[in-house]
Amino acid sequence: MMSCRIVALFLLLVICLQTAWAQELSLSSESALAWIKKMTDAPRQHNFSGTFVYYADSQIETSRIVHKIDKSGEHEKIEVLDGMPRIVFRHNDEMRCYLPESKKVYTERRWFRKFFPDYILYPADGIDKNYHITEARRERVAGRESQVLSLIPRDSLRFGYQFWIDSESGLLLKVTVTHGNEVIEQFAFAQLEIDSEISSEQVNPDVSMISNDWKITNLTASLLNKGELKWEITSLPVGFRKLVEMKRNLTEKPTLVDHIALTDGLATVSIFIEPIDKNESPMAGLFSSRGAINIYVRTVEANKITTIGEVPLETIKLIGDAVIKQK
Amino acid sequence: MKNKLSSLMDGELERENVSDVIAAIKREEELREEWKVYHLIGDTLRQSSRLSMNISPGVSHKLKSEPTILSPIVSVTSTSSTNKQKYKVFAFSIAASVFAMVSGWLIMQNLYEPRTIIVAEQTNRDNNLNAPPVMVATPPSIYNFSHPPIEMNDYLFVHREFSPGVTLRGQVTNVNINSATEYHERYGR
Repeated sequence: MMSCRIVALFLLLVICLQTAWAQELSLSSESALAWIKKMTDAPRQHNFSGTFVYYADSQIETSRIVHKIDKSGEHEKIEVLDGMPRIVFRHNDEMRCYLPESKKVYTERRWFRKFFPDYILYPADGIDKNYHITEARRERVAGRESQVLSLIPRDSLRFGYQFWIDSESGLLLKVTVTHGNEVIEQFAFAQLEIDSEISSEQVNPDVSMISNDWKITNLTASLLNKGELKWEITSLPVGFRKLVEMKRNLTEKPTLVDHIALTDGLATVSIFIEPIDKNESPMAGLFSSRGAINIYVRTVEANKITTIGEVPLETIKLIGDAVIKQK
Repeated sequence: MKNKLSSLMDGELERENVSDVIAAIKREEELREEWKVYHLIGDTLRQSSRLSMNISPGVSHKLKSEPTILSPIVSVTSTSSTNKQKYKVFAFSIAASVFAMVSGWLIMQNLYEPRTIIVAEQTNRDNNLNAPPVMVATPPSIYNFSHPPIEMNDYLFVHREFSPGVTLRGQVTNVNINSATEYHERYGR
């Protein structure tokens, strides 16, 4: 009789575990969502300058950032301090990338700015549907008091995140992307000054960069209306929506490449479709790049479909396989 | 109306029709059922880890309504056979307990540990990337390649618009072809 009780007890335990598994994560609290809003608004409201590090796959890269707000909008200079010098100047959605050693400039228009610490697509929309956001604790980062937010994915289709948000200004001081308990990439300010006076010279190219011997290349892109693209995506994974469809050039390639961008409010996935050259034999399969980025390549009717994004491999494959040619 | 419901689910319904369809769903039980079924089908097709339909109340109800018989059949022939029977029941219950523990552990594993991915060894040393994309898995009927295509760097650069850090990722060393040189100059390393 005793043993039967034990059996019954264990069965009950298993059932309880399964029931707990089936429970939905509750909605995020209003105060946690308010922190997210404060974080997305902060880069549009504050001057700041500092040094941040990017960490992934045991490698660290350092960049310096200067960010100025004035009547005409946002001005920013990001200088990569490791390896070959690269300096990016941004005025709202216009971006110029300077390579001083080869005297080359690449210009690009960016519709959806996502540079650390401007980390989330603006305005923040629908994150709560895909991530359960909780206020974890308070911590000091770069000498400043911060609120830590944990973003737990509501399913296995996406990674988890932790945000360290400056308590005073709302600026994002540090972010980690996690897969289970493992941190797969991280941005963090090592030094930061907020609301300091910034002159326009600090966010614009100096005289040596405005000479005629720099070769300028424009990376063009044109947005498409619904239905203009020959491709469509059937049955997107839960929580993902289409952000934009466009045609764009990739460096020196003569043909334009179709580009579809998707988001779940936080993570983004790009799908690139281009015809396969006669001499080209594309490699199909799943690839893992540095940090959170994963890649999936497949071919459909002499077209190569490349899906890239900071989501797990399973999600990348689901999205890549959902792309079909319109009839 | 069912077509409109399907369009609403796919996010393809015209904005002006959305409120009408939602009102209809609120009004008609049949449409609400259709909505649930569509979601269940969608979840199943997407192999979602959680289905829209919650089966736990149904299971709980079944468990409550079905009588549980826990007492073993007691033989009255002799004391020794009764003892034997007791030992048998005890042994079975221990086995059942172990089974329950193992299944509980497996569930927990599945819940908290994401599926591990086996990373293939990078065999090619003439790779053009400093941090080359590594083949991690192969979908059925797709061949394995250890050379990641150089165009992937262009894609990574373009994706950067939507994603921080990509400027800092996937940079080129061992430059030996023109496009790689180009990339090297643009993104350093």
